[in-house]
Amino acid sequence: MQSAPENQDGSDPKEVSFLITRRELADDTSLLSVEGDLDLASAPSLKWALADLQSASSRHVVVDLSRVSFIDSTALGVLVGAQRSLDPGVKLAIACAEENVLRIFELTGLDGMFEIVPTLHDALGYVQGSTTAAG
Amino acid sequence: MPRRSGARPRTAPLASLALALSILIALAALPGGAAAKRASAAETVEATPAAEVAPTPAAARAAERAARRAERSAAEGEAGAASAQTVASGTSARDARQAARAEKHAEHVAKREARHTTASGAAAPSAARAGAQAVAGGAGKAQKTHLEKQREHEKLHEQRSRERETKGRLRGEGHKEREAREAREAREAEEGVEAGPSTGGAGAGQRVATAASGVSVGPGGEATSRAPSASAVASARIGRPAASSHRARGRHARNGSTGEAAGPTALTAIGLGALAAPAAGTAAGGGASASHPKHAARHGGHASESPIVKTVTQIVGVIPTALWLLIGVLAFAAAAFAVTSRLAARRAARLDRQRRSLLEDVGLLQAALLPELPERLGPVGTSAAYRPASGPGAGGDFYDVFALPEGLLAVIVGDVSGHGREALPHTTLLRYTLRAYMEAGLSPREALRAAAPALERQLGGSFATVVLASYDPRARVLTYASAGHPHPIITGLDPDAMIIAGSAPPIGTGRATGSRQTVVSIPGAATACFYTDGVIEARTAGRLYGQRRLATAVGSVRAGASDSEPAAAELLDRVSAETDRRPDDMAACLLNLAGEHAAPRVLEEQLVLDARDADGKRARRFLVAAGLGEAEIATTVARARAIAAEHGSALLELDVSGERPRVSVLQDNVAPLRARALARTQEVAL
Repeated sequence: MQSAPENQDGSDPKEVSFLITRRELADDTSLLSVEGDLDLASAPSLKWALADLQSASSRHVVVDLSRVSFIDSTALGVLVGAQRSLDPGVKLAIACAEENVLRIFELTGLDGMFEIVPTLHDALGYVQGSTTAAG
Repeated sequence: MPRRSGARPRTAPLASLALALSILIALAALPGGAAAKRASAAETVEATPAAEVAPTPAAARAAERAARRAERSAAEGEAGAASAQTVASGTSARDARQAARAEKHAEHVAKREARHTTASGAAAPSAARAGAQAVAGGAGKAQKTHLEKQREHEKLHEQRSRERETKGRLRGEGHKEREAREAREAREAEEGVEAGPSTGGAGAGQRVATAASGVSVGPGGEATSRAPSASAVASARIGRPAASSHRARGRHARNGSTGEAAGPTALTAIGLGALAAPAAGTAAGGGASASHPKHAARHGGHASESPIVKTVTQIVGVIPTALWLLIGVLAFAAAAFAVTSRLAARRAARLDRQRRSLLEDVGLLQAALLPELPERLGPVGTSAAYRPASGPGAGGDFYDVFALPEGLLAVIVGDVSGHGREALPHTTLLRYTLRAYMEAGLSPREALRAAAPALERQLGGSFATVVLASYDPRARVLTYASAGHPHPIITGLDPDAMIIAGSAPPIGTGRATGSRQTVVSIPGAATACFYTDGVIEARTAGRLYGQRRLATAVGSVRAGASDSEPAAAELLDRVSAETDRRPDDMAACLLNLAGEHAAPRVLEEQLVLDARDADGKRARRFLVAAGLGEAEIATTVARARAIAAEHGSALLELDVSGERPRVSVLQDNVAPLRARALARTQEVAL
């Protein structure tokens, strides 16, 4: 399922295996699949990946955090920054069912800021469905 | 680390220096060694026939006169005899050879002198000139320096003395004495065989040098031009004994290599000079070393005595010139490399120093912006500690603890996104802005709610997580509000049991914050720990330190610390000791509350609903987490939505102090604050 790693956590390869994979799906949808811990070390990679999506002007963006076990304030900040800099028409959804990550989203009060759904299918349905509704 | 990496560059220059040094030493040995090989063969050929020529008495006399004259001129003209000593033995070999060569010529001169019965003084210069020519021709284009002339002159002096003595002995010495002398000479000749190669080498080396400075022969004047003839005379005089001794010991010489064959002749000269010295008593300079046979032998044979040196000399001799050039280039490259790597190492060390100094400056600035806390505020022991991360995460945390009116106490702990220099202005902005709202009498939640919009405008895209708290010592109640920040740890309270649903977002996310507040009763002794996420996000073998381990650490610090001790520093030391990776700053602020043993408990949880939360999802999650029944949740959410729709926001107060949680829905008191301000402005306008 995963293609070649686009970004690698450079701090300590043997300790943390982190990778972000980007895929272009049908209906102008970009999917970012994140694997590993999203922390101070890996947050810059996420930031660049999201910046690339914005410059590619995808209409629908899904960030799949299903394989992320931990997210820290820096990575949350990256997501917040991405959400705020999105064009008004662009929809972003986060797919996440990991209890730890959901708790962090909740604890930081950011759960209300993103559309967080349990599965990738739900996320794709949200971003594409809402566009159809708008169109 | 800089130190580890610095260790390797330090050895590289040493190694390359050693290489360069060894190559340079080898190069230094080149001329003498290589020349030795070239020289020895030529000398052998020349020495033998020359030594066998016997002079006529007349020639000898004439030559002696010329020699005396030359000697005087040489003594006047030349003074640098001291340096001659170093190559005395080498010169001796050449002296003998040259003497033999000049012998023939001296004979001619003598004959000519016999024909012309003019004054000997007139003949002398011509003899000297002829001698010089003989040397120039006979020596195969090798020319002599002043120095050599001087040495030859000294040698001649000794040899003449020896000649006199020999004459006397021939007259007076007995058969036994002669035998003893010849035996001694034979011994010396044997030593000379050993000394041969090196003396020949030195001599030849000298000759090479001479060729370069050969011009000095011309303008050298009479003194130099006479010297060769003087030596010619000396050779003529000693010709017989030298030749005889050579013949007598030819067996030894011929047993050796061709290069060694020059040895006997050379040493004969030395030996003769040595014998002559005591009698004449005028040996000086180069003669001094030659005056002691043993000394001379040691000088001449010093290098060749060591087999290692001999081997090295031979090896050095067979290395082709191209290889020498290559070695020279390599030596130069090695030296250049050593210098550049040394410079690079020094530059790296300097940069490392500058970097550390800059990090220290940032740390100092941060420390200057972080307040010094009083040991206690009223009945509460306070302490704070800050451990900046050495990496790029440094410099985003801030804290403050200060007294409020009416004996209350306030705590601010926060973390600004972004690190380093750009974070510093934001930390101060947040700290002082929030402090002002707290001092104005607002509760932590109200302060956050009122300050957030103003702060967000000034954060310029950054965002900040912060926790504000106020403590009332009389009521023993702690009230705190968080904006995206970890909740404080209170000993005796399970961090996992706290309601986190509906937590307020950080300042700067574009959403209203200051929407949650918790009121905790702390009747007994307890520690409240406010910290930044760098503490719980420190890692041990890849695993997060976490809130639970931090709660344990806070408990143990509390147990072991008195109120006056800086408990926060102790706590962070403990966290540092228990973790191996701390990528972010760590800040901790501790309130030590004395008292009896009584467990703290949460009294109240507050949630503010905005018009944005009109769907009620947030309120629902909050109420579910509090454990309310579905029916009560539905009615509460409905009321809250109605109030929020009317006044912009609604406040849910959840009383969890009793057996069953009770919820009440109120108007948010911050919104009316703004409304009152707006109304006042309108009144002024009217």
